[in-house]
Amino acid sequence: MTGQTINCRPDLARAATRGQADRRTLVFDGHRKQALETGRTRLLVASIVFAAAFSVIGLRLLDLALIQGGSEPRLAGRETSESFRTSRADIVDRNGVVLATTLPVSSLAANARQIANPAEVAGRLATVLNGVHQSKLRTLLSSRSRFVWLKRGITPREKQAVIRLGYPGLFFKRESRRFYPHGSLAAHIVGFTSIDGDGIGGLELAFDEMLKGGTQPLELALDMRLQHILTEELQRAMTRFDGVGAAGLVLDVHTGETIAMVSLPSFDPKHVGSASMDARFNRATLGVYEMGSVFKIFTTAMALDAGVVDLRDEYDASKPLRVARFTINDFKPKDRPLSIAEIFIYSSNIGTAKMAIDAGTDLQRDYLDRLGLLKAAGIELPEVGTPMLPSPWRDINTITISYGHGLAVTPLQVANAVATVVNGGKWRPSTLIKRREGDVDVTHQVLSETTSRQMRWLMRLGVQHGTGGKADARGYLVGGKTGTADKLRGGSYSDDARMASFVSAFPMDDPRYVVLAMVDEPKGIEETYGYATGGWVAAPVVREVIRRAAPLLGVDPVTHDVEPEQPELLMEVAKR
Amino acid sequence: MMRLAALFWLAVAAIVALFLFHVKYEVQHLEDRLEQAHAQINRDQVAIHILEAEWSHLNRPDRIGRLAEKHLGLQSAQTSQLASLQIIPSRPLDAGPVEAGTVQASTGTNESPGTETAQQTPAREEESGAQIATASAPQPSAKPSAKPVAPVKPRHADLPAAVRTTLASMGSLR
Repeated sequence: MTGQTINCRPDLARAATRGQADRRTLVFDGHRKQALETGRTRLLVASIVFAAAFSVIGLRLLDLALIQGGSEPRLAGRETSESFRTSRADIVDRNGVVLATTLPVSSLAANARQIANPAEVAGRLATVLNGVHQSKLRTLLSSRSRFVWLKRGITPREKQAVIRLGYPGLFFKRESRRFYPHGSLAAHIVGFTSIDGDGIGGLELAFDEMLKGGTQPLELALDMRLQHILTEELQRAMTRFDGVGAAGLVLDVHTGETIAMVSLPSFDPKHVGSASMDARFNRATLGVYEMGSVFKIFTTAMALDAGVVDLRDEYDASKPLRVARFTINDFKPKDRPLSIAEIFIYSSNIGTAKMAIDAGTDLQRDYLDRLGLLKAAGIELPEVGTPMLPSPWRDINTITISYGHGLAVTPLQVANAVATVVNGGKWRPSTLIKRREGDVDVTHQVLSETTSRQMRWLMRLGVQHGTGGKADARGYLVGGKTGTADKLRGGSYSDDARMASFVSAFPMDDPRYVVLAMVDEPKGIEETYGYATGGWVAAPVVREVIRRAAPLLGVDPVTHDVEPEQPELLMEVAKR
Repeated sequence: MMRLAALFWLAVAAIVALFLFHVKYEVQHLEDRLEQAHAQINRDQVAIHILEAEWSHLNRPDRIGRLAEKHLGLQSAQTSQLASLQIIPSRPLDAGPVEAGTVQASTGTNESPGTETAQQTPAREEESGAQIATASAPQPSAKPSAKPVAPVKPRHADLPAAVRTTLASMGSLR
């Protein structure tokens, strides 16, 4: 160490020492020495800067590699692939069976300017494309247009055949197409879409926004197995009795879910354009009909619930009832006073009318309103019919409505009101969407538990001893009421056009399902002795549906029967 | 010394560089494979979606019904063929071996009446006995006896009327 050391840093001091040693061999004069000193200082500054920079980089490396490295994600960021999404969510039934789905399809288009020989191409294409006419193809291909659709939504086989033809100027476009695997089976409910995938009918329209935005399938309350059974049995009855249409419903009485809903004739949602208006018309929710004697359920329930009558009361039904200019007759008159149960079982118009007179117009309106029969049913479909009420509602209307004439309602409303009558008196809106755990159950009590129990017994008697005998599916305690209503033709009731219906619930000791069947304009046949009434036409449909469907619905056949409300009356009825 | 150190660090740098390239290529390769896997998953999802639609289409109840009618010759079950296990009484201790036919009929198997109990082997009987013992849970004391003993009572004599009618309608009672 010498006094020449300028810097106090030891390394520089060492360098200085070395420099001193060099100076012994190399001789610099003052001028050169100064230049050297300047260079050395610059080097020093540069090396300090570089050293600092490298140490920052080094420290950062250490930081990245060792310190922050511990918090690196263990998995790659994109571990899941983008899942396949269609432009529209599926619709499935309550068991997950696909009812409507969107499939990718190819569509065949052409640049007509590139087609050298339109006649030849059209000729060859017509042989491989189904349902496209050669002359139409020729017009399209000769159009000199840059883009023409030749066929939208072609099958893979057609696509392969077109590729094999190998004509230039033809190309495929990827599109989405709505597909209904079950065809016409639930067409009125599921609905249909336009070629561009907008819902234009049924639930496709009602839930259009949701289906377009969602990935989760829309779960319906329908069970396709029941839908099939109901369709098949209704179709059979319709064919047998040469009816013009039919409708049917199966409702869960405790949730309001629609397990099956059928309207015949039906249509294929794929070719909705060519379907007739009659086929597209949903008779179960859009059609309003005078339901006939089925309404006696509601009249009797009202009279019992309001305390107007009790089961022991009797009405004289031996003489036709004359009100104003109307005469009310019974279909099969019994020439004696009838008890309330007998009036119901034998479907006496006179007895029911007298019950309604005693109850009065206001009470009837109030009960029918609370049973949901006076306003449009609040189901999810866009196609919902509004009931046709008498205006003004006179006493004569009260009388005719008591046995189901003069008030036109949809079959859905009737089924829902019957569900209310048998389930303990709780009305709830019917729905086509599957209920989930925890859904709020909106109900209001319309009838007392006692009335409901009495009505269950009466409806059971109606099948055991009354007009609904043909609905008795053994072991399932079917109860119900027949209805036969003459149809209105230009202001007066027609003699040969009628509505035969049967509405039932089962099992009557603890009802779980309501089944409604209705045939429009059935004609009497030889086997039914010319009758085309609800008891002959619709009741067997209900029996077959229940017999086939009960095992699927988990209802066990039983050997006991409904506890009679009036055992002594049961004996009376059985005797006669 | 300086040179040696420099060589050493050069070698280290070279090795690290090679390793880095190796890792980079590895990652690139893996990314390609990931891309392929994603594409494959996507294709499979589309295929599954289409197959689900086809499955639903082929499972139309009317089609299944038609096929069953054509190939299986089955009929829909009658109410009389359905019974719950509760209506079957628990087996008395002295009743002898269980006859297989009884068990089959009571569990609702669609067995043709032609299958007679005489052809059943003792092993089958034992198995059936075990079945009925588990079925009648409230009184599990009824154990199947291993040695075959001829039945003391005529068949089905002690069964309740409901069971008898059910069995009779199925052809198991003569």
